[in-house]
Amino acid sequence: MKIKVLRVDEITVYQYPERITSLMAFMQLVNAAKGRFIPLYRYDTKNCVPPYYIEEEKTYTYVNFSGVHTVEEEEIHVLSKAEYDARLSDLIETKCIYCVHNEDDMKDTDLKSYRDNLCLDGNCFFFEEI
Amino acid sequence: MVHLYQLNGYNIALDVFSGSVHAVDAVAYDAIGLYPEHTPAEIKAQLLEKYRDRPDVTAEELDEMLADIATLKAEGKLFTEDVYADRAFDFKNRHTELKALCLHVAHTCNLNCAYCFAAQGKYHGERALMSFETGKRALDFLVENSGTRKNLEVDFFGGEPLMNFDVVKRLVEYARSIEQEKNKHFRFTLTTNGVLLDDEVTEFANRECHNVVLSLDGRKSVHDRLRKTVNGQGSYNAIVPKFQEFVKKRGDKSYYVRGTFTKNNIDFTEDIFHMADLGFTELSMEPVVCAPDEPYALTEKDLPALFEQYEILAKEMLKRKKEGRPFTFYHYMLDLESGPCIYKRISGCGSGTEYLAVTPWGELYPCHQFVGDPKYSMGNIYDGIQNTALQQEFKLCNAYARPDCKDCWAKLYCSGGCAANAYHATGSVKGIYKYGCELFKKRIECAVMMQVAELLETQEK
Repeated sequence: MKIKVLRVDEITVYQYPERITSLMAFMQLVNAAKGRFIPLYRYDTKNCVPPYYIEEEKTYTYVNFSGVHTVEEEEIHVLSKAEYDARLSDLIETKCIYCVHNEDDMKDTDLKSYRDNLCLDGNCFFFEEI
Repeated sequence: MVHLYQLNGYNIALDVFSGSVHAVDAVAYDAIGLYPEHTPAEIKAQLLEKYRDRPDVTAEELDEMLADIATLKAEGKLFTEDVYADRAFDFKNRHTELKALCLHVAHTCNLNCAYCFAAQGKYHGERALMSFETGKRALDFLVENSGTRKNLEVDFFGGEPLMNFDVVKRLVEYARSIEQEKNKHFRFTLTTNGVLLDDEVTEFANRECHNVVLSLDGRKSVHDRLRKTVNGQGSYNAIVPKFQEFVKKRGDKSYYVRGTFTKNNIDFTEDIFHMADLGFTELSMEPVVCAPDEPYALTEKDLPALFEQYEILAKEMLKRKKEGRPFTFYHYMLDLESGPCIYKRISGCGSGTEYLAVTPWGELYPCHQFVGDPKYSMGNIYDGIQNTALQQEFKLCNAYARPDCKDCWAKLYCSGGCAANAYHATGSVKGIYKYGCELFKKRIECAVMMQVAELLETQEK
């Protein structure tokens, strides 16, 4: 699923609050909050590579926007963990086998060696063709 | 003084005061070890006994070897005396023309790294950005106090300096505009966490900066554990592609990908190899310096494991170089043939004398690690150095000023070590940060071993 989200200070990605659908509306909410905390869902990147995120790995958090420098809108892909891992597995079979850094035992332990670097769009920080 | 050690199958004798390095066989290694305290006859007797099962170790062979050692000694390549101690004590009269400034253009940061010595960029004070006027005055101060030096260095530092990028750009433009008139040449360095790295910064840094330091701790799990945003989000995914793009466009200009390792990643060589596998070839990794009660603090117990890691790193670097995929490691870059002059090797980094840090308000400190500590305020860019006693203390802060360094074989490589680390560990800039010393010595041993290995391999070819 492709959704619009808020990227804060270049790095952190938050889901729009319910009933807020644009950056302008969100900034009105921030300004109305007058420095108070706003509850938001944050998409974590511990087990995925942006712009693909895992639905189960979002965290409910309270954010104070008074110290924030930039807020931008962008689109991300949100998948269930099962779907994310299935697509990652498929990609490993078609992409990583052509990479010099690929080793047979790397698929152990929850695809950990791949999920840090291999993006579902096929880009990988490590890829180096054999 | 001779430092003898064995590493990676090599027997190495490092003659401290001549800088000569000898790679020898096991018998000669033992002989050199016995030489200062024993007569040739005693050495011969001991070695014949020890190597009685080796037919090649004969009395004649040992005579020849002992004669070689005596020749090396006579030629000033082994067991040389310390001829530098007297020079070190003339340092109070040395000239201290300014060479470099660390410009704290931003006392604020967009990351919230747990181990940050600068307390998230604020240096235990208020958040602040340096104004153009303050930065301009700092550059003028550098020029005015640099005497006849032509090459001057300016580090754009923070916090995160890119949070004040407009001022950085204007300061570089100003510096370039006065170079010809003042007969100076500025070399700029930028240290960044990469969050704000974009095409404009890349183009600017690759055009203007002699060196760029990119902060990355290695593997994603390691990096993201401590290098987070204020919201707790790891920064690895955001910065790695930016760093890769930046380095690709940088061509052959210098850069460092620099990390910090902590108790959480004692196996830090995995992080260095990770950086290398990401395509970065100029690497540095520093041990965290923090209060001992921090959960990520390194302790004495970690030393054996860290020593092993440095050995693993050296061996892997030799291997990768042979395979045609080399990378450099800052602490292993040792020039045994034409390194720094002896003056530099005794006096060290020049903090508090040739090198000063400037806060966003124009205050002067001996280096960035002292910023915010009122005891180490030296003056300001408007009135100059006012705390001359402190400057004098730093003038005399050298390898020979520290009693604990007296018998250390590594003193001409570390120059007495980092004054800030010594201060934070002992309360005195002339103290010794013993933990750092142990790691430093191991790194030098590894660096020398690598040069021995490469030289012997070249000779074999």
